[in-house]
Amino acid sequence: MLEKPSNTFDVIVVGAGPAGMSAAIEASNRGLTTLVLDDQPEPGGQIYRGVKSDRLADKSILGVDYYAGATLVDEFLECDAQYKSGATVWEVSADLRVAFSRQGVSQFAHGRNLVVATGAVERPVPIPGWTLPGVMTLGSAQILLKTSGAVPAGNYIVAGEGPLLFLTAAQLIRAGAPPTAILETGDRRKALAFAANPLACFSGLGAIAKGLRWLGEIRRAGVQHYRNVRMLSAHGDGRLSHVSFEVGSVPHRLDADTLFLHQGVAPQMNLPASLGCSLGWDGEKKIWKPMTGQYGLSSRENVYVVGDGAQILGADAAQHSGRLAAIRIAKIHLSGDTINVEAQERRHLRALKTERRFRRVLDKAHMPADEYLVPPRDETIVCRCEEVTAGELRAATKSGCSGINQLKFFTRAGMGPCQARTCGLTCSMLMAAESGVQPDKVGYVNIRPPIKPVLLGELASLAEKQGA
Amino acid sequence: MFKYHDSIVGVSGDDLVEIFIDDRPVKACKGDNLATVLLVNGLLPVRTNPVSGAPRSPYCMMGTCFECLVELDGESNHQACMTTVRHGMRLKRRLSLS
Repeated sequence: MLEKPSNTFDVIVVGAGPAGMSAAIEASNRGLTTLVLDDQPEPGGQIYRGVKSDRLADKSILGVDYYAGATLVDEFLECDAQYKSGATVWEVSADLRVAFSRQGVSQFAHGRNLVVATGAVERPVPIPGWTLPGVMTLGSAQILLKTSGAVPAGNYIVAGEGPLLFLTAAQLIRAGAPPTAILETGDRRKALAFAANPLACFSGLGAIAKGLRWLGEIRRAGVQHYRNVRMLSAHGDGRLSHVSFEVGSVPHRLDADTLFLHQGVAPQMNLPASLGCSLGWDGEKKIWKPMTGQYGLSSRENVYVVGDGAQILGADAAQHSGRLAAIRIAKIHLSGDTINVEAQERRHLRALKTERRFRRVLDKAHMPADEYLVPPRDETIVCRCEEVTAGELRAATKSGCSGINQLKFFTRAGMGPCQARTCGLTCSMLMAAESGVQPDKVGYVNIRPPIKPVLLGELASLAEKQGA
Repeated sequence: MFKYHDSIVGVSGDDLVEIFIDDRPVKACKGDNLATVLLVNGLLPVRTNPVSGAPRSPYCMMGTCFECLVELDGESNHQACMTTVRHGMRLKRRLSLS
């Protein structure tokens, strides 16, 4: 009654990054009617963002790995899937009716299957002063460079943990805008983690070679490089002016106009969580993630979660995982040459296994130091929206909050407009640490629709259309 | 706090549109989002936090953190980083004086 048949699809894919594009290509090539909804103006996800429209005449800045993404984007744009850019999904109902907003107008589409490919978000980096203007995620530097060809002006510092630190610094050095300093919060255990797993390293030789090349570029540029950075804080009166930290109990202070923070990434969970998909705590990687089987199926019937939104394995693995889910859906919905299908499934599963092996070592090498996971200093803001501090969260935990949702109601942490996207992981880990249990005992905050704020006028016009 | 790289194309003449930020005309590159326009023009902070009045600015640039909420053509709570510039747009920063 509500939907016209043209609004019903075999597969609705949310997200047009590597996983979502691959799922859509595979599904539509197999004859499944496919709709792709993505909230960005162009396909590519964050990793290949702007790859078809980038403004940099000097292609060496972003490098060949980035521009290689254009092939996938082209294949996606040419496939039979219907693609809607700038489409923000704000609710998916139990029967897979997808509500999305586009150019200020909301509408529905109906899916027989849903493929969630909403990617990753940066881990929160709660340090004193991280809410100051001038403090940003490292990913934001990538986004500004890719979409607009914009580079930081003035002094800037890159701080945290993970390969993205070196990649971004190397790219900005090539762009003639080197950082003042790189502050690594990790230590030299990286080398140990790699040395302990020669087999895994062998499958990751290409990645290791790239990492060493970036480090070489950084060294040649003469960028100050600190390791074992502790007690990192951002300071300024209304705006970042300097950064302080300790290395081996020796205090340091550096002036900076911008500070980019990074401690790795975690699955973006608001859509699957709002659908009631089971979430699980990954104690090895210290992240929450939607529980999925090997083909991406979540705990909810006909709902698949693929790519970094399910498991952080990077862009190449995301493509295999997107295709696997689409093949599985095609197998259920269409009849055909299943022998051929199984060979393809095996190929994607093998590729994923290889990626997983090296990623495990990489994650171990780049695990954030404890103080960047659970902020030890009470004054540190954890929930940016509602300005709830680590001290307030600890006090509420001690006063007897029985679970993460009670902590949320008592303190308002996670109740602001970002709906715990930024603080959810920290809140869960902090409460667990304070209670002396693992985060799976504490849980993750309930996420309820709408998962993105939707204007009242839009809802009203939608109601009128539905009533007609 | 950000500037366009020297080697870029698409930032002159027909590539530009005019928008209004706090009623002042500002030239913006087609394809840029509003948060980028605010950052390359040094217009910080972008808003104040409603709980404390503390100044805030874009943090994630990908629609996750909601720190870049602005008033757009009279409607509040638009994510600047998720909004591509259009000729004649009127953006207002929401700054309280606390």
